[in-house]
Amino acid sequence: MGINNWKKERRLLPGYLMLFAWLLFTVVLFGWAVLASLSTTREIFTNSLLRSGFHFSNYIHLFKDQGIGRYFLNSAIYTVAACIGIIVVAAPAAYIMGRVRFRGRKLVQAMFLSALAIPGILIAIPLFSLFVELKLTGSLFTLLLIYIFTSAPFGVFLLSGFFSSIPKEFEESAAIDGCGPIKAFIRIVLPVAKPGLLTMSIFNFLGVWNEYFYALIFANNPSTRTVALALQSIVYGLANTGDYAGIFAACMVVFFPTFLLFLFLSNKMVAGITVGSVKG
Amino acid sequence: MKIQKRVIALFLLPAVIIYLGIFLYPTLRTILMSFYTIPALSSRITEWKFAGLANYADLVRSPYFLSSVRNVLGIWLIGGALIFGFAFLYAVILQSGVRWKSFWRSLIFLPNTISVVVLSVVWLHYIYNPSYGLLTTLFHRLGMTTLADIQWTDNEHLFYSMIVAYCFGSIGYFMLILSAGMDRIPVDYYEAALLEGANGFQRFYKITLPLIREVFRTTVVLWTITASNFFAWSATFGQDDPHTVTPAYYMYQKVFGVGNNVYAQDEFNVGSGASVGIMITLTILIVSALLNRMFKGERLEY
Repeated sequence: MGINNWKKERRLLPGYLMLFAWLLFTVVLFGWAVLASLSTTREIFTNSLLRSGFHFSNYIHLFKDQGIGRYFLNSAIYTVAACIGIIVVAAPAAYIMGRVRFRGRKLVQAMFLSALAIPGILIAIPLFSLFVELKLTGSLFTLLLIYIFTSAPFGVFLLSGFFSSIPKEFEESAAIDGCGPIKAFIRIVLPVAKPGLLTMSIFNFLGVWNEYFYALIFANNPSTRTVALALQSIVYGLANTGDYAGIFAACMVVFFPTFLLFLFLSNKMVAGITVGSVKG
Repeated sequence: MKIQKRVIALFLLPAVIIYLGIFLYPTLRTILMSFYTIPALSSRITEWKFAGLANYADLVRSPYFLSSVRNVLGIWLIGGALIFGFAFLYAVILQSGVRWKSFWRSLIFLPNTISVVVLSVVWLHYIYNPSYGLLTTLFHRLGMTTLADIQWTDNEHLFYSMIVAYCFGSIGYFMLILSAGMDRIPVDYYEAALLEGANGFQRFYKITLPLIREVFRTTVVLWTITASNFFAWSATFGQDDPHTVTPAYYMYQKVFGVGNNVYAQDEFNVGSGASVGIMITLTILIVSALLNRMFKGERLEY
């Protein structure tokens, strides 16, 4: 490294200090929680984490006594099914919005955009009554449908950008091969739009797994509850019985799936936000 | 390629039906409900009693609602100052030519990917815990016993503790958007300023800020929308404590709440909850329009 480089790095020192401060805080925060989840409550209170080795029993208790496995499964079903459902609903509409000129296009576009600005708090009460009236409450389908429906406009918005950037030749060659428009869409266009579908699904995964408001209103019973919501009541119970190690183990169960996604796909997340924001 | 009208309709239909049934119809119905007294969530329209603007008038007179409005204003102001302060700081640092830029960007964004419940629990039961928590341990080590003895989650501190914990989980998103805006500013501008002898602060105020005005406006609008709908942290961190209740959470407690809280003493009225939703939405629309006007002026092209 030349002298100039050293000079430059020294000028950047305050910046590095701030960045390392954030790194240190993040590592301490989550690192401590991971270690606490494997320790005993006594070790937590005496600042001597892991003194007596790893206690995986904290996790085993959660699955045996608190039934966290069921909530975890609920959330996994909501997340995976919603990601697929949103693609099924949003992709065809986004394809039309992104590539086809038709009468009334402006109106339809204004509709989807206005839906992005409507907050959940505004529609929650009639939605609840509507679902009760249609007898759609009490099963996993309730919240799943809510997630698919409320995320669809954002999906259309995000995907239409991806579809409009695909070259026209793709469908033209499909038409020459004798594919109908539906077949051409499924066989030719969707596979090309895979990066867009992946980006959207990453955000839908995070959104659904971490969602709180709709889950509280539409799935507030033990058989349909999400793991994030269950965490709240499990923590409440464990705090009352003084099992603090269990509290942190429960946090890790909810934290782990999105953290795994972050480890492998954080670049895609960052790119998705920066591209979307600059365009908009 | 020519696509038949039939196919266009078929492809658009599911999304359009969802829009009409899940967004438009409930919005209109909420507007209507806000003018009626409605005894239960399952009440049919024939059971609604027209009340004019009474729901709104009652809200403006309700001390619980007013304190929730004060709370959300505090969150918007204090939280906004913290979030934008740190988001700008880290965006500028990332732009200054530090190594491992994409690693740092991801790292600062990490808390945004974590469940609100997990963040709340870890902050409540680790950072702020009065016996083994990070803050008390740290301050004891440094010999600052007055600071170490602060109860971060008592009545006096709960609101501010919540804002700090919340901001940690939100800075990354705003930082990413600001940072993307800064990356589009041509490097020559900074090089020219450097040759003229401009220091870091001058470059930020004279070049960066004016050139990302549009992006900054967008982020302030986004923040206003987010803050107006502030809900999950009131439920997970505040846990029914009146010091952290926002209008959105007030509405939830009134309409969907289990009934063992201070709000239960008011008469149950779904229409009142609907009018809270309308007021939140109107606030967002008005503030966004004001911000658009404030940030108007000639658009800088570069």
